[in-house]
Amino acid sequence: MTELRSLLPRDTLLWILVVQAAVLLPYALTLPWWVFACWIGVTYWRLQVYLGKWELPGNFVKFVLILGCTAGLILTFKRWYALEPLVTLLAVAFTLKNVELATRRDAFFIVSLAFFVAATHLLFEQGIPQAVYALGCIVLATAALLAMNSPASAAAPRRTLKRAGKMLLQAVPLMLILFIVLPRLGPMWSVPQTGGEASTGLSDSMEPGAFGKLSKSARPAFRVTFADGMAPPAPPERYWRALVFSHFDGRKWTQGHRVDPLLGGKVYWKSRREDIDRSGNARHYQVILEPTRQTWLPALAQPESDTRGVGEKPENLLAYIRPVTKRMAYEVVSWPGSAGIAAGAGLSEVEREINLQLPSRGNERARALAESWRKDGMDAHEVVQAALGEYYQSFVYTLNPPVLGRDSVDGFLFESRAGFCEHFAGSFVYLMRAAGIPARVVTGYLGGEWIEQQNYMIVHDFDAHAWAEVWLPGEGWTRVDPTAAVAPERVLDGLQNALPEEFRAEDFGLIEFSHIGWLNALRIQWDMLNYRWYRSVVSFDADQQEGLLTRLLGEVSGRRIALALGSVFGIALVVLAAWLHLINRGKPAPRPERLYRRFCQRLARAGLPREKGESPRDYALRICRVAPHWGGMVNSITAAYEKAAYFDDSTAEQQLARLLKTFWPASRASVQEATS
Amino acid sequence: MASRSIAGNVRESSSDGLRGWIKARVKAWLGKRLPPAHRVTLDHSRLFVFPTRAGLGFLVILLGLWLLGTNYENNVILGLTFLLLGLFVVVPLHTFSNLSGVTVALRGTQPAFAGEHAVANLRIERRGKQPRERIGLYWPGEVPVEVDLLEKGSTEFQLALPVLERGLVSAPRVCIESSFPLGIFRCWSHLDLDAKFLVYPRPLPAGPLPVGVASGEGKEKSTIAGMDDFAGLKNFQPGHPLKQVAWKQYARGRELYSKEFESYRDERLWLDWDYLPGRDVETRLSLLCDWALQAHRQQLAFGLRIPNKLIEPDKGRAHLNKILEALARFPVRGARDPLGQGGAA
Amino acid sequence: MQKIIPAIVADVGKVLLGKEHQIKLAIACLLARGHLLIEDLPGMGKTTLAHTIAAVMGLSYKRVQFTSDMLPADIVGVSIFDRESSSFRFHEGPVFSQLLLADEINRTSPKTQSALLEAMEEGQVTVDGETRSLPQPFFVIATQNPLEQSGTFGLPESQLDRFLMRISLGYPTPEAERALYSGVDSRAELARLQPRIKPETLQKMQAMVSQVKATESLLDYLQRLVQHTRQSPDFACGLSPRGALALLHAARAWALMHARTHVIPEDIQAVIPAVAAHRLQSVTDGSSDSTLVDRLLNQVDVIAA
Repeated sequence: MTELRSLLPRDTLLWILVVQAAVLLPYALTLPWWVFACWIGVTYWRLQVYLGKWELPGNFVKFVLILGCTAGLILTFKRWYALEPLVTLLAVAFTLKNVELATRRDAFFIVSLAFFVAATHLLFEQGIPQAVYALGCIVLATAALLAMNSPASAAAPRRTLKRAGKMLLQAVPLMLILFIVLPRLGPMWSVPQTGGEASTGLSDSMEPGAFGKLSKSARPAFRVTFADGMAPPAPPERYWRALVFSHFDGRKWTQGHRVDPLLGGKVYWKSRREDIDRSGNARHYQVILEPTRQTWLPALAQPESDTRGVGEKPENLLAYIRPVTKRMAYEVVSWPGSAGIAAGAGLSEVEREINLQLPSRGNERARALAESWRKDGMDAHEVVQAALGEYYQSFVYTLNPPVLGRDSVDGFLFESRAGFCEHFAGSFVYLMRAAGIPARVVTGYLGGEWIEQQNYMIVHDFDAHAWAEVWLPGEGWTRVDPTAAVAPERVLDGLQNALPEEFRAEDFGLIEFSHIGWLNALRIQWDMLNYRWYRSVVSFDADQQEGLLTRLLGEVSGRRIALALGSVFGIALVVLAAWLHLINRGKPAPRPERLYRRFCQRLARAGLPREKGESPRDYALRICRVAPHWGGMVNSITAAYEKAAYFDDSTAEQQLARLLKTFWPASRASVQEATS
Repeated sequence: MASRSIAGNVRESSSDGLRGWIKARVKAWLGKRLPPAHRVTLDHSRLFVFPTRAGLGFLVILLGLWLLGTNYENNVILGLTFLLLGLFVVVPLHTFSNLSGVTVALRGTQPAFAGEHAVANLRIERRGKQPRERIGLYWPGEVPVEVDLLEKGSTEFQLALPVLERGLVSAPRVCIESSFPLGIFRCWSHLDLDAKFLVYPRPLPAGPLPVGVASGEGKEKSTIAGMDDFAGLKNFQPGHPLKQVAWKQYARGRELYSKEFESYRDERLWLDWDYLPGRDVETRLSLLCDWALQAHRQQLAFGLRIPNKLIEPDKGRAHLNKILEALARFPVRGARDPLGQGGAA
Repeated sequence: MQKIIPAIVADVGKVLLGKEHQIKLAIACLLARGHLLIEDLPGMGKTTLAHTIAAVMGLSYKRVQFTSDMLPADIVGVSIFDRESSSFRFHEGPVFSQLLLADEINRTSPKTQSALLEAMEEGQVTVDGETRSLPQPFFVIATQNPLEQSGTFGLPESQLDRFLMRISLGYPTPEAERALYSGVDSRAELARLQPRIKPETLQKMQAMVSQVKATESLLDYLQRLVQHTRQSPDFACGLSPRGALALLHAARAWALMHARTHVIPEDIQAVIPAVAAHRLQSVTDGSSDSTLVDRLLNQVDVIAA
């Protein structure tokens, strides 16, 4: 293929380098530093060659480079089956190819890789900015290809970009169809997941200060849409449960190791739980969860889900089959009004034991306080009230509590008396357990911002919350939020209003200015856009696809899909082809000529084509001779054409068009029949 | 004169049967579909669009992207993949439209010596205002000439073809192709522009010019003392034959003169077929060709005598071309016998 | 108008039998204010044609037989000293006539040829520094023997261009020839002819030619033809703009003769062999001029694409 072997046009080099820089830019912070150093060095060298100052490197330099890069790769990565080595490898390939970039083939290779690298960035993040950036890279790479193949374009970057954009725009209809129609096959083999990034959101343990960091983050944690027309839960009901902690080691709450072999460890994958209490109003909703790298899934109380890979845990929690590494959506049905599992059945011994667990010593004052309540003969309700009363009287809700000592519960309850939700929840459960009431810590989110325009709720990281659940005989597990006793506005109005002075965050961005009307509107708009993006694009899976196709086509069958695909494809292509034809053709012939040509075509189909140099009269004469029965019609059409074309008779044009409508000569066979 | 196709370039191998047969069929089909004409406008009936090797590479990249998107269940990557797939569908239309409506016309051909490059003058023009870019034109197996039609609607260029055999040679089909805009599709056609090259014989060293004309100084005739024509009077010198004494003048009382006579000999330079007996036709023509060039270089007047053709001596570039054309058009083998070896016209 | 021209053609046809197309071309040439070159063997009726046209059109007619010893003054005229008035008096040459038959123009020297051709071009002659206009209308029919004989000077291309048309009469049809044998006396026929029109009428008709309209569609066709001659490798050189204008004008005259107010492609096709053939040069292909024009007509589409 001489085409590819030919030398790269000079101006194109800059295009190639710009494309490389653009696709590597997002990796500037994550790739090993030496890759970048190498790339910059080689690029500089290549530019010097471009300017005519240096020569292309010789074989020795190439060899050293290859050796160096290989060594770098081996030393940098211990694990090869991962994304980072892959991206690094591609970047190295870029770099090394730059050294010998001389022909079109080299350039094409680089641009092809660029398409690939631009897309890999989306593996780490699928947000709108990333997608737009990747799209930009693709436009740029297409423009580079165009510049390589179009001498007129290479030197006119703006025009080239415009043309590339135009071509991609023409491809958009096809993309949409393919996106909607092409089946999603699902992973064909297990792939290395992106890792390394610090996980956000709730952690799988709780100790004092755990929520401090989260409260400073305004990142969305998840978004919720409620089934059509359903109002969102009232603010005090927006308790999104994610994790339950039953084990306390004196400082840290964890999920615990001693689990009930029958119940505790079991996750109900795929099978509907038998024991869920489906009384009260069901609430149907969809959650779109940001990646957490953990398995928990937030949900309202008493949830169950049909989404593939989602299971239900006995603590009335949902869990995913593997860590959530990318944004995922799942459907939930909750019965928040019901009492929960086995309310009537009572607590099993194992469970009771688990939920009464306390370290053997430490926090003696708290134990003593609980002991005093028990001695007073209070029942569970009264103990709860007593504890809440305690908080209400003399505690302060703050984001910046003082540091606690070894006995953190004692320190909080009797000394600092200032804390955040985890302090309240942790100490409360401690007190309950000490008083002999089964209790556990629940973490999750409290609150959510309702976006009226789009009918969805957004829950941020700073909505993270911890509260308690106690086992009340006859009522089952009951939610008690000690924080509400101290700061009821936290429950009603969210953290922003509960702690207006302290509510500052590193990455709060616009949410900090939510009191400024238009800025807030802007923020909400942006989030809405994101939300739509996630809902319609990122989380568009096989189920949604089927739903959409059913709505569009009535039924999903191979034939219908093929038909729809084919027809839309065909229409798009025909439109494009017609457009290209239009811009390509010269000055269109005047109407009489076009009409007359049609006349000639019809006769040609009937087997009597006009010779190129044959004038209309001669042609008419010939036809009259060969096929006399058309004579009259042919003569009048010829006369009308002659008048229209050569006598400037505008009425003749109409006449010609009219005559033509009635003239449909049959095939040649009939001519011969008629003449013989 | 029967024209020949250039055997040196388009080698039709009769040995590999099936391929040869297919080639012949394709050629016949092309001949039917794209009949020869000096002026050809490209349209859908003449153009073919296929992906290039780069285009297949592009597809491989697309496959990679699709696997990436599918395995990671990443819709945005899938979307980009489909966008590029859409591009892959759209581009051939652009490639096609870059050549569609382009007219290639033969303006003429320049003669050449066998073994050299014959040049065809071509003109390419576009319909409409849409610029056409990177159109490559070439004879099969030769280096393409790249042409753009940007601001100007038409341009002229030359295409050189090595010619090996003497005669009136039919050029093979001109290949026209373009892989604009992205290089992933190639649109091509083979045009028979009905170009014929006049190919002069390849000059072979023929030694000095024939006949004893050393240096001509433009003389067309040389004289020798002879008996045929009266040339003038000359003072009588003893020893002049008495027969030639001008008695008449002497009788009128003049001095004794001697009459001088001349006889003419045709000493103009003739390049004659018969000077080169015993060699085969092509060699003879090649040698004559060399002589003709030598004579032209020395600015001599010279004529040509070959079977069935005689060109009177003359000088100049036009004359040389006439002579060379006569040599080029000399019948090809097989026509040799009836002429005989010495049959000068 | 509608009757006059057929009548004229018929009149001439009575004398020159079976040559209707050539007669029409000659008259079209006259109407288009062009000059006519007839290339033919001797004895084909060149002179008769010229004489008859002059008679029917009512034009003053002179005939000059060109010979090798002719001087320009023999054509244009000469000033001779007149003793009575003791001044030079100009004696008009044969060029001062309305229809001049220049017989065997290629027999005379290029110098004399060019004197005539200049007179044709300018419509006036300059003798002794004095410019004299030629009579109007002024129509030259030159004849030329196509065979290259010794002592002839073929007109060079640049001079051929001065003639609007070049035609050849050719042998008569068998019927016409038979009629000749059977005693149709063309001379007597010629003597009997009366002028159909006056020179002033002819001039009016000549003016009308310019008013025949040509639409865009027609001009497109004309331009395609001209372009083709310039771009095809068949032609050594294409039609000049003057040649193209000549073609258009001749087609107008043809249209007028057929009582049309507009030119149609058939008009161009009818006159193009006469108008274009002598202006086109074939690449040394051996093809004669008329087949060249035929090929041109076959290769150019009449209808715009």
